[in-house]
Amino acid sequence: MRLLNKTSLIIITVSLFIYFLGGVGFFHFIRTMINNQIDTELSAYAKNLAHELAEFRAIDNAMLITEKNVQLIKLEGNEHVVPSFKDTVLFDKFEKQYLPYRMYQTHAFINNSNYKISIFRSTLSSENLIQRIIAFLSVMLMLLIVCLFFLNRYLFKRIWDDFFNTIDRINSFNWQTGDGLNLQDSEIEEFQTLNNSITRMTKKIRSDFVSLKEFTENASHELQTPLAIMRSKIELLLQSDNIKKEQLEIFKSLYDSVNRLASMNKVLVLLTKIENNQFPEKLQVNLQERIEFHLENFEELINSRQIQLSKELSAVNRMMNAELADMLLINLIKNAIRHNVDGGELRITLTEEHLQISNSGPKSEVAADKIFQRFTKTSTSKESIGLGLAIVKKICDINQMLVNYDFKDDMNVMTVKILQ
Amino acid sequence: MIVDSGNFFTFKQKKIRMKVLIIEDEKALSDSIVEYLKVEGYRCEVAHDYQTAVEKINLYKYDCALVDINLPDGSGLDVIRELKSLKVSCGIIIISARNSIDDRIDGLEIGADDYLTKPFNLSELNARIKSVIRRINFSGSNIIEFNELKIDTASLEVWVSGQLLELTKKELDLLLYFLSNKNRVLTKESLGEHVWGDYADTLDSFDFIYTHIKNLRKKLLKKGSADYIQNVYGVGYKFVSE
Repeated sequence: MRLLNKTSLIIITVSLFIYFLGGVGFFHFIRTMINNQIDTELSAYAKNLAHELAEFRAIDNAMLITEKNVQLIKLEGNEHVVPSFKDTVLFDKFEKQYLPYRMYQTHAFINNSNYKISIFRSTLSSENLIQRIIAFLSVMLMLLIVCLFFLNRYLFKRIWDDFFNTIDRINSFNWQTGDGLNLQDSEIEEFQTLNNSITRMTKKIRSDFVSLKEFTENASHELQTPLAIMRSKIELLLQSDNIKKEQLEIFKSLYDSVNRLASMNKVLVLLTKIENNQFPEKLQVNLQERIEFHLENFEELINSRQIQLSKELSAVNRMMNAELADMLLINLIKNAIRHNVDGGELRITLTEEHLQISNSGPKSEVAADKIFQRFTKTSTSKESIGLGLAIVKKICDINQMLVNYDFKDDMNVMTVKILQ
Repeated sequence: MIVDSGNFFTFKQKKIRMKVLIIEDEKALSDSIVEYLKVEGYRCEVAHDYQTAVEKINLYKYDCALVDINLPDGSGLDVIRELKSLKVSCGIIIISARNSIDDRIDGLEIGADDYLTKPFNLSELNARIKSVIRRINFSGSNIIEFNELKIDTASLEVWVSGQLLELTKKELDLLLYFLSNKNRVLTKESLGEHVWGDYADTLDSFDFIYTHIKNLRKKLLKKGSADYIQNVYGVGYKFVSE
């Protein structure tokens, strides 16, 4: 969720909640005020009425319901009525409906007789008043929320502008070259602190990155010569006459190790070169043609393992470095042959969208997300140095292609999305 | 001591010892190269730096020069330029630790004949030297003869005692490689690398090479050739000429 939406949502929720609570409270407050007012009037009227009736002694049964709003009922004996206020409804003959009334009940001794006095007063006007107040308040509330919403947006744009600027800069930062991170100074102290920290951190990461890269580069270059010496010396040793079988075995295992080191080193140099963008020339590579070409070179190997090759290739061109395209294809095909079983199946499909190379070897022991990492290999393939797929991944990365591994229908499937 | 080997290509004239200049600043490596090439009957000289190299090429004539690009006091590419300006017929093979395409292209453009990346197999280097010398000294003739074997490197045809022998491209490559490295132990790795190049490191356990060599041997024997190719226990093969 975006920061703006998040804050807007919180502001609206909280204000709605507060206004709702406030509205209910206000309604009850006004209600109580009005009732108090009416009650005071009613009790005063009851006292006056009792007083006047006693004064004029003009009371008889016929008089008891003289006025619509007053009721006098003669009570037997000394029956007591506790003075009380009550909300009620009465039927209005003219309006033909029940209308709200406030009622006051008490009793009084008039001319030595005990009377129950009930006084009614219509609350219709005060109800109307309350309704109008509520309606007015609701409109105000809506207006306020709308204002808050726009104010929030406005403030958000103004205040967080520097922050978003920083985010853009970080996104466009290129680790390879170190370009792109020129954070603008911010008037807001917190953002300025953030910018300073980010600048400091990226400087540190960048310098670590560069020195690590230089180290790998130098190390692998410097390793070539000692490796060449070791290899040549062992080769010379192998040529000497009268070598015993045991010695031959020792030389052989030395030779194998040097070869392993040499090929690992070769790949590390290659990976560094790809990273350093030392394969800049791009052209339209005819992938179909290249696949056919490499398959021809792999033909004997494929035949020697009785692997069934099936291919479905459409004419696809892609803009990329020709050498890297070859490396990508060779490594993918190699991988599919190496991890295949004798008499297995090798299936290659090339469409506009993707290149798919499947082999019927056993499911990879390595988790699908780790398979492209450096030096990831299965225990069964001792010949492999575990860098082939790292090359594949790297080449795909710099060409904005996605590569992924999947195991379905008993096949190991490598898919490269070649669509640009 | 002249070991008769540096000339499997036919010399109609007197046997001449080929002169090779090794321009390489790592003494241990140049020593290995000298040691290996000595057996081929080459006269090897070594220059460990740019200065010495330039002096030597100006003073003497060489049939082939192995040039390392990174020299302590200069670039091997400049040595090649110097060599070319002298207009002598000298094969040039670059041996470099940097496997960079640019270097390769630059080197070949200014006149180098071949390019090898360190670490290389001495047997591979040997084969390349022979091929370069052959190209320069015997332009026009592509025939390699050895005892009853005759190979035309241009038409890719092989004869055993005059009989035409059908070989696949890979088998022919293998045979040529063997002939360049007679009486040498050739590891399976170097055979694989030579014939299959980039595709080689897939050849798990190299059984594959075994099959190819077995076929080659069978074909040669069938046409009445001597059994030259021997298995060297666990390591590789050897083309035994005597």
